Amino acid sequence: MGFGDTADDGGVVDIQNKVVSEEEVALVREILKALVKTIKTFTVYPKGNPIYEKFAAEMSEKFAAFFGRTDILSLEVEQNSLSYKGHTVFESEDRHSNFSLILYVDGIRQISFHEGLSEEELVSFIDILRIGPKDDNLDDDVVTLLWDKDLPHISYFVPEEVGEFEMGIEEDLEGVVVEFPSASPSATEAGGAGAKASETASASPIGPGGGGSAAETSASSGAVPGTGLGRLREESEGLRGDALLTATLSLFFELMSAEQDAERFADLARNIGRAISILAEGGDVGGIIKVLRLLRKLADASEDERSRRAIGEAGEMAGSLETMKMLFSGGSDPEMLAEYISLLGKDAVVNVIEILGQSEDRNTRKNLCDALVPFASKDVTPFINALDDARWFLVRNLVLVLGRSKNPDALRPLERSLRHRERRVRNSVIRGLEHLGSKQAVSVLAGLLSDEDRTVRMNALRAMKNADPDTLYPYLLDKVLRADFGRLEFDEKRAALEALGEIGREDALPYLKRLLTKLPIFRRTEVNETRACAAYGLGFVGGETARALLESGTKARTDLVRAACRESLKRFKKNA
Amino acid sequence: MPRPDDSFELSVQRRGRALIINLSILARLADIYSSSNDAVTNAAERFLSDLREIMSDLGEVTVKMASESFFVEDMRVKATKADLDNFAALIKTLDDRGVGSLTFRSSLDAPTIIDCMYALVRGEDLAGIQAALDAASDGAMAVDAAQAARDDSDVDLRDTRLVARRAYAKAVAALVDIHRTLTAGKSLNVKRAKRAVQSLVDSIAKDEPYVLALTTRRKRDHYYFLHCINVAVMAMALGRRLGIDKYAQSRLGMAAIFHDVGLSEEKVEYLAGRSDLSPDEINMLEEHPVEGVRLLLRSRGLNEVSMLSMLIAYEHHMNLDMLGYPRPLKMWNPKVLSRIVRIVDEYDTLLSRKVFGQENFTHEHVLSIMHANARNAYDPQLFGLFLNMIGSA
Repeated sequence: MGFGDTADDGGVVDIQNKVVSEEEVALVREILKALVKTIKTFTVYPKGNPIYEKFAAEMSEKFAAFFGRTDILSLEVEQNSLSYKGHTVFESEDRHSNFSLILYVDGIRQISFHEGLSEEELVSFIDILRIGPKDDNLDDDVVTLLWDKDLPHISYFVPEEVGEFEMGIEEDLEGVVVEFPSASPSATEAGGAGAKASETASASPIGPGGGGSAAETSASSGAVPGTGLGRLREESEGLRGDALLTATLSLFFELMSAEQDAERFADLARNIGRAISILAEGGDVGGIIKVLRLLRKLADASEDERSRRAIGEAGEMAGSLETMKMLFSGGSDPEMLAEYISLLGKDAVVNVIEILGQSEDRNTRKNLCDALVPFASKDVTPFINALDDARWFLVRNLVLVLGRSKNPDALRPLERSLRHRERRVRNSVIRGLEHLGSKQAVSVLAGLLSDEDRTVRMNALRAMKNADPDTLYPYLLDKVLRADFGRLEFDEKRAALEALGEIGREDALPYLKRLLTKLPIFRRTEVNETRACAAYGLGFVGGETARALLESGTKARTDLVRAACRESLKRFKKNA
Repeated sequence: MPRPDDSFELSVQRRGRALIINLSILARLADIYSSSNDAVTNAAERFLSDLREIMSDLGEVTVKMASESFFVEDMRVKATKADLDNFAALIKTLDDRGVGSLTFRSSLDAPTIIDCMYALVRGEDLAGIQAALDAASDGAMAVDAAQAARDDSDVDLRDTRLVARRAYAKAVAALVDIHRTLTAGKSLNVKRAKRAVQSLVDSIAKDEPYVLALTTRRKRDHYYFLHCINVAVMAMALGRRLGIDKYAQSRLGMAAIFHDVGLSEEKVEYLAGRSDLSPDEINMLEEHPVEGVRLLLRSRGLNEVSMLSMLIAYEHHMNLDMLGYPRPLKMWNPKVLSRIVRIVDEYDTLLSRKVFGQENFTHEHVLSIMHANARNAYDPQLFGLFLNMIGSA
């Protein structure tokens, strides 16, 4: 006697009254207790592990034992409990292990397990409960996951609709009759029989009383990979994700090319903007570049101001901060990123600068700076505003960009940045002026040669030597001949005298000779240092006179001078 | 992969959830404190803010409760685990009073909503509560009795044919609903249609001939909707025969439902039985693929199904020989799924002429027409598969 049978001895009553035997209820409780343990076990052990397999098999056996007595196990789902024919068979308030809650939250109010439930189905069901859907993803709910897994022996009720239901159509369909075999031909038989069979098959009408020819159909799908139908299947399955988006974008551009109505045009453009944000989420810089190129083409071809504006707005999405964050955090190819930035409108520069300020990766910063230079060469305005940014490391990068831009308008903002509180920024400004290289920039550098900061003076010297050595020479001479020159630090004197020698060559010879041969009476250390630095300068002059002077200097009484002369002579040998 | 962007659904979910939570809080506070209490006033303001936001989009708002679930715009509002206590409290409040729905018809201010809440929590029965609400809000807020959630418990899931008929009928009903919102210029709620289509996919797998037979019940009443669902069913069946998985079949079905969205119900029924169209009528017909894309663009956001819908709407009358319509400016290759819809749409449309009085459009006659067009119009492999499908059915 199974569950639900009526009996005269009481205890077991008609199922309709939901009064059932203690034995049956206890069995259901056991099953659910085992289910909880199995869920936990599957979380710990991977598939294939003996313990995993053992629990799966035992779970399946428990269900099988139940189905030996009745063919369905239906549970009513509540927030923290499950009940079976009016009896609570599972209760838990623990939000992490309470699987009735998982079902309840996704709207399932009843779940049923049917006879024939396989171990595979059970495992799939447990996986759904174990991993669970995400809270904020509408499509990723338990109901969809259950459907997706295709579990024929598990059914559920979800109240999706409220109120009266239009039954007319359903009643109408009751009269439909199909008079042919119900079994569908195998979908796995190969052969591409479709094309051939079709032409000969005497297709009979489908319908009430319509006798279908006993199907001489063999293959239904014949969709073997590589064959015609197989290719069609692959093609249709490939139309998802990026391929689908690309196809849709092609459609939008096609429609835009033909669209005369401004509002509809704008609608299409807005959707292109949406598509761009989808591409950005996928890190697809290449896709965005294609879209931007097409947009540019469209804009060039368009004579209508409103259309051009709509296109511009679509393109703005490509240059938005959110889009850039997604693209620049994705490890995309630097060249592609540079191209992408080059296609953006000037309004996007502000966002690129912001990304530069946020980037923690050196290579990314370098790529961003490279990409910004062409923008700065056209318009320095967005950069000027950013020079007031509190992030000194950003300002440092921007002054270098401004310098590299060679835009004359960059001079004023660079000069202003010489007063920046951060020394590293000031030094970068000098490099920026060097890159700028204009007469006015060199003039600013010249003014820095006598700055009170030694580092600034030396950097300015170096920058000016690279940018415009001819203009530097007279300043150098002036500096070297000043009475207080000797009192400068060794490395500054050396830098100046080396530069003098390198730039002046023969012209610098008399000055360097005078300094080298001056014998100290007072301020011995200072004078000897200057003599050594002059020797280094002579090393850059070259020629026989300089060599002779240096050889003579190798016999000097001071170690410092002798060493400098010897070192400079090595330069002669190297250059020889 | 683009993530789902069913903006209308997400919007209703988000706002509906906030509305219900704040309503629950307000109701509980109204049960404890007097109307002059700050907590009550603040809760009322928060609730009204949510209500105004949702009303600005939907107009009148009805919150229904059935089977311990809440529905806004007939869409079940999913509660996160964190929301459950608030949801449960409101369920109990409504349940105890036999209230199944709350309707907000026009904008309310804070004092009025507070009075309404007191009317609700202090009321003992539906009639009493409604009378108090009328007095407090002048009809701006109303309640109604509990309704059962649509219950498929009468369906024995082992009866695959009953399940198939139910799914088909639900799909038609869902499409009627979608169409109503589309023509009203509102955003689309496709959740119901999605579930029905999924059920149809399962039914096709279990008993394809029977499900295909359901498409033969062509009638003039609701022709447009029946036609769309028939095309979707046949497309899914053909897709299944091609070997695409059930998820892809479901996507195809959902997209195929919208293939003729560029034509209104009246236009479709007007054109359905006609073979002699005037130039203007031909023009209107040839415009509908593009018109369909435009409508879908405005209503559906950008996600997998909406993109597929647009492509199918645009391409489903294109022929292999590049004739057909529309005629793109550049070379265009209709997608496989569009080519599937091309065939099944033609088949159902031609067969439907019989319904509109052209008695000679029997199954054999339709097939002879399609055979004559096959070389230029249809993908030969798919056409062969289709003939196989209806031949075997």
